[in-house]
Amino acid sequence: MSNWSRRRLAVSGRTWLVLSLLLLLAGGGVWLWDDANLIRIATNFFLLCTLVVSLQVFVGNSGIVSFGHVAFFGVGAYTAALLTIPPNVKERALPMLPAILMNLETGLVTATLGGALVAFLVALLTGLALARMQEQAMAMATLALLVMMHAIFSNWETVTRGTIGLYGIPRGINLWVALSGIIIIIGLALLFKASPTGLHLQASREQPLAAQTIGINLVRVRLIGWLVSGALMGSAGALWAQNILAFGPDQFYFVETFTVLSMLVIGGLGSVSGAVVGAAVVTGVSEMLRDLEGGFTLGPLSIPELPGLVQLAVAVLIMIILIYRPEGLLGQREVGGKR
Amino acid sequence: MLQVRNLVVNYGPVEVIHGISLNVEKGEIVSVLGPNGGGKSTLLRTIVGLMRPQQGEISYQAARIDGRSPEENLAHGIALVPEGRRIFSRLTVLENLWAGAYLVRNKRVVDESLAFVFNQFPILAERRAQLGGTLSGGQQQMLAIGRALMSRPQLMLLDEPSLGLAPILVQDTFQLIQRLRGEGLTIILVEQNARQALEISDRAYVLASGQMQAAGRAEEFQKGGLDLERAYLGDA
Amino acid sequence: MTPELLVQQLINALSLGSIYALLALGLAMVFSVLGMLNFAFGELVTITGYVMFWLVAAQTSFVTAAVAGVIFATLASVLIEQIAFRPLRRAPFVTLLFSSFAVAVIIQNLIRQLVSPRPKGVPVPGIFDEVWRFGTFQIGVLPMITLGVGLAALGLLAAFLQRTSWGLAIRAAALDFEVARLMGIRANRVISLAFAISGLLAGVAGVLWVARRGTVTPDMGFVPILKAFIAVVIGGLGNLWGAVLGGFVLAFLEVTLDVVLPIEFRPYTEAFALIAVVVILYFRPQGLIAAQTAERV
Repeated sequence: MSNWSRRRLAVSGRTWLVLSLLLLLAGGGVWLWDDANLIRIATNFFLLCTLVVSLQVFVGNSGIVSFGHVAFFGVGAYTAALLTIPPNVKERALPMLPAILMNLETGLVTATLGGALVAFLVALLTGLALARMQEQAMAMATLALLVMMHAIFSNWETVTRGTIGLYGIPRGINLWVALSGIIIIIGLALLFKASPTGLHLQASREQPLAAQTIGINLVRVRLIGWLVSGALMGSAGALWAQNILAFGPDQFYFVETFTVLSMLVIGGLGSVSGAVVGAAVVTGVSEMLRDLEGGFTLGPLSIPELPGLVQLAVAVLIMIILIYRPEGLLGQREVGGKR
Repeated sequence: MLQVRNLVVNYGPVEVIHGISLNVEKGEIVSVLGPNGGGKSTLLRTIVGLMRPQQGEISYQAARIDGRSPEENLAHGIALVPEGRRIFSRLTVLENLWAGAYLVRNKRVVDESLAFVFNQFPILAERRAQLGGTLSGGQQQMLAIGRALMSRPQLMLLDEPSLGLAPILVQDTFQLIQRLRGEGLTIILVEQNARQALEISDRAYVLASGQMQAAGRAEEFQKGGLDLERAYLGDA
Repeated sequence: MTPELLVQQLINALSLGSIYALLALGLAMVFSVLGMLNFAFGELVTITGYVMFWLVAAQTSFVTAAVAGVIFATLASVLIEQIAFRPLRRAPFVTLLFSSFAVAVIIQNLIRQLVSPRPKGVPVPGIFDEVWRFGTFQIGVLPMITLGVGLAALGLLAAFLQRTSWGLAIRAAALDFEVARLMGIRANRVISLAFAISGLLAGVAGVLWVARRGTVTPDMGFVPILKAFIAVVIGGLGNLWGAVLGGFVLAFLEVTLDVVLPIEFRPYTEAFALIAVVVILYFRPQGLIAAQTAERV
């Protein structure tokens, strides 16, 4: 049980190739079409995928819901912002910032790896305690983690500028960077899924007690899953920050947690491809409804603003899928893999 | 009184009982023996309706009962004393017993049952105001059986009543089961403690690896006419 | 600290505590019976608030509006269970969690669509803002009313749970749902009852909450459920009276921290409470109080 399985690696490799190819086709198609709005949507979609796939690494393999991952996403975003915002902007926005941070100005890759590293450290700090808990207690503790981190983002003004948020992050992302990001993260997620630790974590999802009796160290595998997932989430946050350019603490809270988790549920918790499919479905629904949200006219009827319509639709979609397809659209299946 | 025919039960995706049959007559004590994980508890849980069978029939007093809920089965006189006793630890002894009589609407009948239980287990009467969780293991077993008696069942299913009890208490428990049969109850007894279970049983089944490995009169097992050990290993 | 201030803070803590206790008990009620954290619980507070807003705006008296708010919250709670949770009864914990999350989002956004995304005022009777004076002591009317209503509601519920057979059924199901079924307690009925009580508690707490705030917003349910969640963890998951105690403990903790902490740390009060929650979950996954009772055994 504790060695890499060639067969699983091969299956994961095929899934990775198929998914990458599909995303590449989508990206290439959009690029050829050359419509600014479509390119924007596709870029956002790829970034969203990095988020959902990173979350899937922990939730999908361990079967434990985490409400706290969006906090790692935030940690990554703030880290990337602090690493990339030009010093002259920082001097105005964050006058109290320590000199070392003040003078830093790094590029895309460093910022992304930095985001992953800091998120990893936060995950380590929290994971050491969380991984020892029972499944339900852990799920609830992650909720506490989310609220706690939000309190820090909103109040640690020296570094985060509090509720106002940060601005002036240089744009490091275009369609191709986002595409490369998602392809790499999918690869890492699939690699983890096929790894011995990933397999042990999946075994613990099905049968926590049985897994322990065959010698799986539950705490250890959960901690590793938590760390990998947290670090990936941090890198996803860093990438996202370099596309959105300005953000505040409320972008790492319940609405986002719900959105990301819902994509995972819609696609199927146990599957990396499912994470991508879920993100695609939700993006599709959101983009279709976004225009309606601002208000529209229907014949003689003038429909005013419909705030929250997208969220409402996604929530209804989730309820329907939970009731009719409790395993999500893909269940445990992966694209390109035989069952 | 109770017939089980070709029962198949799944636990999630895994089939744990592969088509077993069993038959219990009124007034009998029937043991279901077998190793841990052989499907014994699942069988009892399926009979009372906590689990749904995949295939097969269960009939009780000439009516099909597979698909009935535990509540309905209790109303028809089938009570289960679950494995590990599972008394309500933070209810008092008296409240535990009242919970057992939940379906009995007639206050007088409840009081009569209570008197019967307290008569069987005087210690419970003494400790009636104490929380269930503060009782000793043996007393908890009495309370679990007493609680099941409060509904005035005709068929009582006992899941490992001797588990975790001191030998002297095991003796007491088995004697109690015999007394209850004397009161007109029919009993299905699931036990790992095969030797002692056979002493009080009329008949026994051996369930291992989800299949009935042997069945017969208790004496046949005791005298060696039927090989208990080989049945346990699943190759009888 | 002067004795006057101390008494005031004590009453503040007790009145806040009684709201938290109602909320925690409501959340614990469903948690202990179904083993699920009902995220939509906070939205029951919101529903109470909006029903009150409508009725008060329609010139109904505050008390009538409050009673109607409580009734609606109770009905909504039962209805939510029937629609969103019952079809998923056999699903794992995670699925129910998501489902309740989705319900919360649906209700919030329906209110955004149908009413308004912006805060709406609910005028409260003038007497709520008055202060009673006893010599040098000043006591707010609202905290006293809150405390009175809160304790009365808890008392009535305690009587219901301790003295009736339905109450026994709920307590039994909260301790061991499966065995409760073996006692002939009907699963669907006891679950509906638990949701009804949960809704009732959210409603009463919601009335008191609205009386304090004087406004309603679509996301007003968030703080109540967060407080309830923390209190339930402190009090012991699935332990009904522990939840009540947890509510009071949380209120005392908050009021004390508010008095003791320097201003710049105030925003972190909640974070401190949450750190306490994580520590408790770590050392005592069954909750502080539950674990202690278990040890005494």
